[in-house]
Amino acid sequence: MLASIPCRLAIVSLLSAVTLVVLGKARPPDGQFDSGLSRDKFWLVKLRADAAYDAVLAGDSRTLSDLDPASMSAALSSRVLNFGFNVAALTPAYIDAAASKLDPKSPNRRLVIGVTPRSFTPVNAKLSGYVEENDRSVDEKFFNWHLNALNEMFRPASLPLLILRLRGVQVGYTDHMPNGWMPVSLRPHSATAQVAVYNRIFVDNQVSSSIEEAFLQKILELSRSGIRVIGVRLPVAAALLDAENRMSGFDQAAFIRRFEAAGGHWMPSPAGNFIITDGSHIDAADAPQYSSLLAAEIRDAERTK
Amino acid sequence: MNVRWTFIVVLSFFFYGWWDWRYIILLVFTGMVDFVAALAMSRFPGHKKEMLLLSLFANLGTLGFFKYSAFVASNLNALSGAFGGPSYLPVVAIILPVGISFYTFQSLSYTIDVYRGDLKPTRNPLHFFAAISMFPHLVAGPIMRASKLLPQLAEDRKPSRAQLWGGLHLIVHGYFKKMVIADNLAPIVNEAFNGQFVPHSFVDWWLIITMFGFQIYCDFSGYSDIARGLAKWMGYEFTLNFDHPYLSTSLREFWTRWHISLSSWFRDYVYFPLGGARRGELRSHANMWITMLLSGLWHGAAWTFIIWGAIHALFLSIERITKWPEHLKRFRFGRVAALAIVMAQVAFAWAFFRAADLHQALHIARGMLEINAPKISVSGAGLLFLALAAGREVYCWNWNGRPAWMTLRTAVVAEMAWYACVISCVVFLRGPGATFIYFQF
Repeated sequence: MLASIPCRLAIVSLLSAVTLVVLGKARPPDGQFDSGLSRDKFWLVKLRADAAYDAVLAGDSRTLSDLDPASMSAALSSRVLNFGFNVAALTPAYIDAAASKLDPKSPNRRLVIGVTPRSFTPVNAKLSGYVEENDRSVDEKFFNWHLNALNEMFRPASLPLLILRLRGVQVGYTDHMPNGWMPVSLRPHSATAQVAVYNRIFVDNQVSSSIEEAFLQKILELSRSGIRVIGVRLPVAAALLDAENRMSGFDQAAFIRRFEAAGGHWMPSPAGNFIITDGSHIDAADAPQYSSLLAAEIRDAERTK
Repeated sequence: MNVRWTFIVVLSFFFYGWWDWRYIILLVFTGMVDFVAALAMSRFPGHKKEMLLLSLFANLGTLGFFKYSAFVASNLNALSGAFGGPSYLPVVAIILPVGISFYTFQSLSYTIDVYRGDLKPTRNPLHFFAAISMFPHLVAGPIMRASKLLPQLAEDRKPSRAQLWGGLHLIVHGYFKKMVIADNLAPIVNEAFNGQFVPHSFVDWWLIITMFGFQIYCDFSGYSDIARGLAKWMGYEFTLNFDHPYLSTSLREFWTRWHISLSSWFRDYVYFPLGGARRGELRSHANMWITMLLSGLWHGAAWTFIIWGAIHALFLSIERITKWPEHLKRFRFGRVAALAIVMAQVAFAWAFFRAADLHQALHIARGMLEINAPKISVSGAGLLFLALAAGREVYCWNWNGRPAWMTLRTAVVAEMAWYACVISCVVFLRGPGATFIYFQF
């Protein structure tokens, strides 16, 4: 029987199919939480979220990874969605998309914006993760939405990470949660991991006054429509903050003045000893606590008012 | 038979047109010129030369226009500028049709072989286009000589059992080379060439360039293996394109193992017609230099590719004059040392091949040659896949077939399990998707 080539081909096909399904099903989740969402569907879930939230968190990867909607939800007694995207630019189209997720019937609509100098740069406006995900073809969106299980089952694994895991070494991870949060952890933590990148990012790519101006106009419009717009600069490692302040052309004090003049509410970032896992993002283990503190400060500020 | 050829031609054109259907016109145009020219050579033997010139003009003219016109114009403008003159020629960026260098050479070999009397021209255009455009080899080779493929197409071939099994072996391993090794090495190499990773020492640079050497090898030979496997499944045999080139113990041997279909094309249609090694030592070196420079230019319209060819020519000349591989191999571990030297020579040349421009190439070459503290800072993942690629080559080198203790039945079972295992690796350990490097040529 084994001498027959068609038979051998059939056995190889069958054996491969069984191995693929068994390995795909048996593999452990990449991150800490087994959300069952593939990376690709994660973005679509955000984009297709209903207008059913009291608070929406908008911004780039810092918002995406630092702010856990579940923790904020508890502190604010509200429905919260993280609408952050990698490399997002704070363009009017993006802010509109974020605001569109707010429940029009909610008595307390809040748009929390994670402000970073990078999100006002031309490169971010061009390469925004929001634009990339939103502009995907219908075929891709269909595949990512309906064949998520296949995507997830056959997602590639990193061989070096696999070896480290088999040796019992703690490795970094990224998770994709249905509420839009993308917790990240780099192991070992490195406050300087992103410094080289940030030293290059702002070369010929400083904060654009036109992007900033358009953003402030949008804030004015949203504030007038009854949405409470809250701005916050999320924490980063000292070396990174220095690079941002030195090279980006972002004048935070002036920005806050204009932001508040447009009807926005500026919040100082809650103080605390949070681990900034790669110098730019709060570690997944600390992000819930940071999110709770920020939510509590937002709540307290509203009460004081 | 016509149905079979029509099927091959239509599907191959569909495959090519998937990228951009307009360029099918180009493929048909150069193909028709060659088809008609070859027929005319047979019908009007007194005008063979004119017909050959027509074919050369159509093929090389098209290739020159699409691939080299911007390069030539910018260099002539620069030359004019150097003498204080204006830029006379417009530098127009033209989209390079996928696989143009491959199918042009395939088509050219047909008319040249007919001109030489080595091949009888076919009267059936379907037959001709099936050979020129057969989809597995159309965009990235192997460069199939019409003299090899046309006779196969003329027969009513069905894949044999050995071809079915051998085809599976080639396809599975081809995908492994491309998707697991090449695609995982690619991001690490790209980071170094994009400036996202700054090598700290000469060792780092040598490692990065060696990684690129294995990336391009696994990328291209992976494609060739898949193409050969698909051909086997259709009952055809394609030329072997790579034969473990990094196990060569001389650069001359390397060129008999690397991109064999191209190097043999240049040997038969450029080096030998120039006189090869028959007209004295000096002429032989000159012929070899011309061949290598043209080979570099074939890869791309940039000085980096020409210099890549020149570096190989220089090392080949040194090897011919000194005969160092033969001397070295007399010593204990001489073969291993020769292998390492060849690898180092090839890697050094790869720096020029991969660099974005001459400035970067020189910067990297300096980095490779500047002896400093041998600090290694390249990623562990890169080293892992480099070791995997190198280990795979050494394993193939030492593979002596089925071990004596293994029965045929056990061997077959083991082989089937092995294929299932490799397929799983391809699916789960695949790197970030990237197009085949040689598609750009």
